[in-house]
Amino acid sequence: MVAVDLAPSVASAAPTDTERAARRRRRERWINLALLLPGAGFLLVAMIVPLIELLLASLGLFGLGATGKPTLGAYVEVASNVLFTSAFRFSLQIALATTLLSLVVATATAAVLQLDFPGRRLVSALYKIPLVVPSLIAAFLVLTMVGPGGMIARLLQPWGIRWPSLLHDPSGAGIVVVLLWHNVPITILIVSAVAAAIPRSVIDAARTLGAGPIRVFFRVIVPLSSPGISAAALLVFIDAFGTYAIPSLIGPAFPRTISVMMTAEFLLHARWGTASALGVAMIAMTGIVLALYHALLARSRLLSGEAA
Amino acid sequence: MNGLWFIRSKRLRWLIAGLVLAATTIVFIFPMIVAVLWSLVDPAVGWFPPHVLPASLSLANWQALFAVPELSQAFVTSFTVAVLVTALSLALGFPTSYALARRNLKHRRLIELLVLLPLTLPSVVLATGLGSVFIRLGLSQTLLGVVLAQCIVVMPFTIRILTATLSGVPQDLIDAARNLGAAPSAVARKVLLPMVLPGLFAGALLAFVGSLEEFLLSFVVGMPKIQTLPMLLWAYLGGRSSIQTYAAVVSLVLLIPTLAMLFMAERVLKQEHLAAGFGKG
Amino acid sequence: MAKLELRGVVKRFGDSPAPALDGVSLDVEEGEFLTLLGGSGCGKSTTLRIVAGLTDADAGDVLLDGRSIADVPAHKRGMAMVFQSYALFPHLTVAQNVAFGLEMRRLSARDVAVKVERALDLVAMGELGKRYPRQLSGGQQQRVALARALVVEPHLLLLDEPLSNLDAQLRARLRLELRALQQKLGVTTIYVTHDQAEALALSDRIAFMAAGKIVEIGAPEAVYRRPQSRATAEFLGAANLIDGAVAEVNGVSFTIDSKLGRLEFLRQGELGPGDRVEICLRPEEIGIVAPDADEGLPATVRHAAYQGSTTEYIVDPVGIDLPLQVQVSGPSAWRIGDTVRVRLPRASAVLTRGGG
Repeated sequence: MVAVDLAPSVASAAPTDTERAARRRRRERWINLALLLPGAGFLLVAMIVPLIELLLASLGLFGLGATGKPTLGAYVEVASNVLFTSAFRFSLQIALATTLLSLVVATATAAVLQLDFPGRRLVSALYKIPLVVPSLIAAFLVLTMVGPGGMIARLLQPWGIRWPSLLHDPSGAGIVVVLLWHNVPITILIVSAVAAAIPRSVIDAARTLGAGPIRVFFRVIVPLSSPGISAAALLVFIDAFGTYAIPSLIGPAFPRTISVMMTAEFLLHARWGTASALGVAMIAMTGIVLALYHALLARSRLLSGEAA
Repeated sequence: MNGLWFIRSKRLRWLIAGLVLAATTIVFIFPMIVAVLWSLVDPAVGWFPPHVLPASLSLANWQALFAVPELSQAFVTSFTVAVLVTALSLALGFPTSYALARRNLKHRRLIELLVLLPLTLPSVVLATGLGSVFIRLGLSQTLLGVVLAQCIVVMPFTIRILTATLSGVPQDLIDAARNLGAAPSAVARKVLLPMVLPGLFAGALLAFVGSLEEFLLSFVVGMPKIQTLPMLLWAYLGGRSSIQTYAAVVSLVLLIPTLAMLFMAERVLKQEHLAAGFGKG
Repeated sequence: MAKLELRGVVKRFGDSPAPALDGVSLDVEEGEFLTLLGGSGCGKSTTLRIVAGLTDADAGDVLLDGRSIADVPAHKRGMAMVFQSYALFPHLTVAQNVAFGLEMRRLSARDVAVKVERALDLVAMGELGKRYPRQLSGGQQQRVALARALVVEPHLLLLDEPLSNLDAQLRARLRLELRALQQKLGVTTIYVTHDQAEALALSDRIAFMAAGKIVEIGAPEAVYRRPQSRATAEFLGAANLIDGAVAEVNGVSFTIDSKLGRLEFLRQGELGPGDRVEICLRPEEIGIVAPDADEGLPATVRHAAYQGSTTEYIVDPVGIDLPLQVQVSGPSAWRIGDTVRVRLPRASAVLTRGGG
């Protein structure tokens, strides 16, 4: 039998209800803190410290070349040096192109997958392959196909067709192709899931009112899927904007992406000031896009009169 | 887009089928086949255009995995790091997941955002920032440094899976255990852990695979003394000279466990759902 | 076996202005089977959880054998609870489930095995020790849950609507087994249910709860036949409630003016002339007799339903707007539209305070 661990009897002053409740609340807080410390605590320290250092370094207050006085020199350098401004523009270009193209391709593919044709299930399984392929390997795989010595080039050679080299192409086309290969499947998944969530009855209503498949698509499905589609777009944009491995391998010598510039400043030139200023700029860009996303989401919710 | 639209014309259907299947095969299957072929290319002969198929095959590149020191070293490093990252991220993440799943937290939203932050920050920024901090701490170019860095980007996944699994444990079971005399540690050991085993397994798989694939943080923190397989792959793809054959081998070595484990994870999670449908309680 | 006291227990949840428990005080004697009865939201389960230590009270005290246990954590209270969902550990076998509490108490493996076997035999589950909960039926799981609770020889046995997930027949049968077991072992028991038939069948005393308060406590027959309040009367069974006022007191009986006319009942309580009362007449206490009988009020049968062991009527007393529910045992010959007489009881009618 368990010996019941009883409090001493009323001889000593018994705790009042409020004391007890306060004591209990305090204990709960300590327990919560102890539970959160290993995981959330680790993450907090591991991210906040570098970020603060980054900010300070960008203002010249920290790290190599620190002067002790806050200065905007690094930011001026970033804003005026054509290497950096073109890098920013290049990254933005790539990110926008990838996002738009992946949305178009994904939507088209998702739409086609809604048609019934033999082999549909196979296709549906196949397109998910890139989901498990990390981006470096994706770069390799795509290169073996569309690179200058790649399979498509070799297959077209006997016909005398010259396959353009996407490697180190200054338009960033090669980068976009690899990013598309990597990102389109997840976009297809998200778009299909979001569209599937539209109640069948709404679509049926549109059809009975005389809308053919194309009209239904553009006037019912697309608007109602927009929150999910914007989420997918956000994911792709952020991934494409910050990607390093792919542009470092197959990107042009000029312009370079901002991620490549940043690592070069840090690892090669040890110019911590400019590197961190670039980092802050990247974070700012990500933040702006996130804010835009939230604003769009709120607006679309308002317009569609989203029912609870 | 729900439900399937039937195309009346049979010919049109077959046309679409053909086109889509051809496109999918070219885009997704061919690269794999080509990669396998590259890994089997005879190094003495090579595989140059205009040959569409390699002239002769050999297992030499695969044997290099064990023979070439930097390959075998990277192999060992990658898997060692993966095991450590899995253990650490699960150990550190479990209490946080428990708190998120079952306790009343005042700043819950903030904590959830914090857990997602590693994924929303541009990884170059995180990598260079962390790299600089680790240099000062002497963790740069150490195994521990790489492990810690990888944990940061792996933990969002492990925490989310563990939180989902933990919140699925019925409160009644925890109450019953306490009522029968189990102190909090006994409740965790004898009731909680056994019941979240499937989730732990899935989390471990995600962590392991995520660690194996991780490139940027390992690169910035570990270079050049610590080399993982992805770092080697990067080198073979053009960081130095382009060694397609080795790149193919490394890619396949990285892909096979990835595919195998994700397949396993899906099966385990399905079983868990079956088990959850037990009993009338 | 232990005696439990609750003193002024208060519990609030979240921002709700009305407390879940509003000053609950209760004494449970050693070896007693006490039922907390009430509808959903009345606070009965919350009370049980506070006794078990699974929830903390905001105010008030819980005493076991005279000593406060409010600060004692749940796993040290030496009680055992049977849950509505059974809460069997799915990853353990039946035997391992039952052994759980014993293992927490650090008994030797041999002692554990012996006790587990005995407990399973007690609930007629001896053959199924190696099965897993998901392989058992609802009734079987319930027995295992019971065995798991009893095997630790708790000071207090707590049951939270343990039978409500079972079908009616099983419920009735398990009910009897439960009571027999409890009496055999003599363990102090608190039972929570919303089913008044269960409460009446099982308890030594019933505590009827509503809106976080204990409305009334008493032995089953007292609470059923002489409820102190309208809420209790209506919850414990069908009731014909008739407003009235005491007209005269004549020694052992008094007359009451009511819609049904001037009625005479055996005197109850301290009521005097002018007191407003509510008469609670149970359907089975009212009789139906032929229209030419010399006693009773004339009435018309509005509705008749044969229920097997009883027949239920609704009759309208002539000229009075007060339909009465009447229950007669066995089949009965009266049809809808028949004129009859209703005979009101004299000795067994119950009077409750007027005004609800």
